[in-house]
Amino acid sequence: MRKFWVLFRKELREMLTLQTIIPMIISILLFSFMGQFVSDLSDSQQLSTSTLTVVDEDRSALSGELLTYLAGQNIQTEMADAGDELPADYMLIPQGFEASITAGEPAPIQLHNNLTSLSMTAGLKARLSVRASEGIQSFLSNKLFAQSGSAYDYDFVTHPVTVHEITHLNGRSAEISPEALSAMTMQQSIMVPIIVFLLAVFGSQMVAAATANEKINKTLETLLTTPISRLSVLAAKMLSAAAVSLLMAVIYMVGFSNYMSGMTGSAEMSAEAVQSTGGAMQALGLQISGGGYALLGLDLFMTLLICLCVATMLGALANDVKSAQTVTMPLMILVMIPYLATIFTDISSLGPVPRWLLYAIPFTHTFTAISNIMLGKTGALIGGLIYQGAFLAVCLYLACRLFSSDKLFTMKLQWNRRRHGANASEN
Amino acid sequence: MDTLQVNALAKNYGRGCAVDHISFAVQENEIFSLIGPNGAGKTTTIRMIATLITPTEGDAVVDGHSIRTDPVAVRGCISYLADEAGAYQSMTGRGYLLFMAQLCTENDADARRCADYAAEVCALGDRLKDRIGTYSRGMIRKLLLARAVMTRPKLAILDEPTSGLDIINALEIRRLIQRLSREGTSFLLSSHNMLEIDTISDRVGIIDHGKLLMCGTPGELKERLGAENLEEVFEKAVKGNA
Ligand SMILES: Nc1ncnc2c1ncn2[C@@H]1O[C@H](COP(=O)(O)OP(=O)(O)O)[C@@H](O)[C@H]1O
Ligand SMILES: [Mg+2]
Repeated sequence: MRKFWVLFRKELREMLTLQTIIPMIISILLFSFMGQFVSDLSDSQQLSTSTLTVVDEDRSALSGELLTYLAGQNIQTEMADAGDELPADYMLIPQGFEASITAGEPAPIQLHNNLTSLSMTAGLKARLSVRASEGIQSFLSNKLFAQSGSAYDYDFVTHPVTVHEITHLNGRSAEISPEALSAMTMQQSIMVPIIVFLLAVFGSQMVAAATANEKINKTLETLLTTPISRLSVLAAKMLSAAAVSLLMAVIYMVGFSNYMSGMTGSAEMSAEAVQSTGGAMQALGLQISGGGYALLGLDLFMTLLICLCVATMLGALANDVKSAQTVTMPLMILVMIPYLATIFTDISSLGPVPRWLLYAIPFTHTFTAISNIMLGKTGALIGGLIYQGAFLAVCLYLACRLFSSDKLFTMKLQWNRRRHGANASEN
Repeated sequence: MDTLQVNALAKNYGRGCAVDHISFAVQENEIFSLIGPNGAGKTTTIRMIATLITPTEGDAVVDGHSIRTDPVAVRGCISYLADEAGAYQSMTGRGYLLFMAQLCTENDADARRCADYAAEVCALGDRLKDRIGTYSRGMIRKLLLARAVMTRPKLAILDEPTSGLDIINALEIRRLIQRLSREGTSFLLSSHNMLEIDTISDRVGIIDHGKLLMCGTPGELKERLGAENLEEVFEKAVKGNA
């Protein structure tokens, strides 16, 4: 144990140098820009037009007039009945709409959003319904003004419609707009993947570079001929990289929460609004419990160890400085693919082939973990954890084999033969 | 008993025998050198004895421990210096010696004693306080050699200990090896420079294409083949073998 700590301290010192810390900080900045870019992107996507489904339960002259008006505003509408198979998003004009307006009472309009997942593209049509409801508001307001001047009270004439945004998720509903919901879940659904990504990228780069350098400088040969267990050489490398990347994760999390609190502050979210959003989250069952966080933590740690283990092997098989720098590329790509996939689509809604291909990548389960926890998909969550655990066990076994055999010195990992080597270490 | 006994050791990397069933022995306090051109199989032989590579066939016994069945015990009584080996650039010389000493000993007092001895052997003085990144090649080699002998191993295995050094540094390294062998360590060296090894080796083994052609003291070999120096010995040995 004493020798392990000697090695561990040495690895930490080697990894915490300016050359390793500066690129880390740069990437942290880069990633917070990327987070912003992603949220900008989702905003612009929401503006794209498509057809708005309207359920007109009122079937009155006024509601007919509203639909004609919308058509004039270039908003295509499609009629449906409450009994029909409804799309994810629709506008509902409840019965008694016209009667309410005629009586001088604000009339409700419901905007329903049926979320199937928490990914960014869910709620694409939300903007259209919002735009439509705003149009209806001003159309009715103008109409009332023209009709009867001061017959109604001022508040009613300026706001004859009350808009209720209702979000459905997993058979539960709450009155909250999908935007507000996504603002709340973003903190978790964006922050977690970014942290995972950071951990994976830095940890792997660091440990691969450290291992490759030791091999190239032949200090590894020296270490392996001293009376230390080879397992502690391997463990010291992996665990010190894990410690450094966890440290980075903490630094990043502090930075990110500062950034988030700055953002919600500027969005003028009143304390009341935040509270009601919290209530809505609870109503939709989106609150993460302590157990949920523990599982998430376990998941992240496993992901990190898989990355570090594979990266150590790849680094140990590099034969020159150049290949040491590129050797973690395949690993990075394997992290990148599910990362982007979870941002832009809902993996569980993909066709079977891409879906199972994605599920075969252990990191996919890391990125889906947070929404699985939120949506209560315990089966998928536990299944993912078990798969990751099995994958990690295989990786650790291979790494131990590599470090205790002479493969380290007889096996070569070159660009032209690398598929072979990469497969051997990943399967 | 011989410190090192090599029995028909062979290694095949998959493209023919890199080391072809070679046998020799190194006695106590002896300096034994493997000499041969680049690619002859010296490094492969040495790495097998240093427990880094598993032999395809044969065995070697270091101080009674087989490299095949008990590599852990072998590591306890050898030290190994790879050719062109480096050290951790960001450590100081002293820090490096202490670090390696801690890995080779069981308590900190022993570690300090070993590091002190190594500091004296390498004779780098105040430069030991500087980062290794600022050292010259010769200084690094002295530091690594001192590291290799600091635990006073039964057998020190040095692969090309003087390659890439200037004349003065090479001379100093050779003198150091001679001095240390008198203090009780056996040496297994390798070199492709046959002239320089002549002066310090008690016995040499001539190796080419993975085969050990002949073995003996430099004087014996020169006499046997009627050669002026070891280079000529090598030339004649290769011809005689062909
Ligand atoms: N890791 C390896 N994989 C495949 N072949 C190797 C490896 N290392 C050495 N060889 C081959 O084994 C032979 C002996 O090499 P080596 O022991 O390094 O010779 P020397 O140290 O005497 O120069 C050479 O032909 C070399 O190409
Ligand atoms: Mg060599």
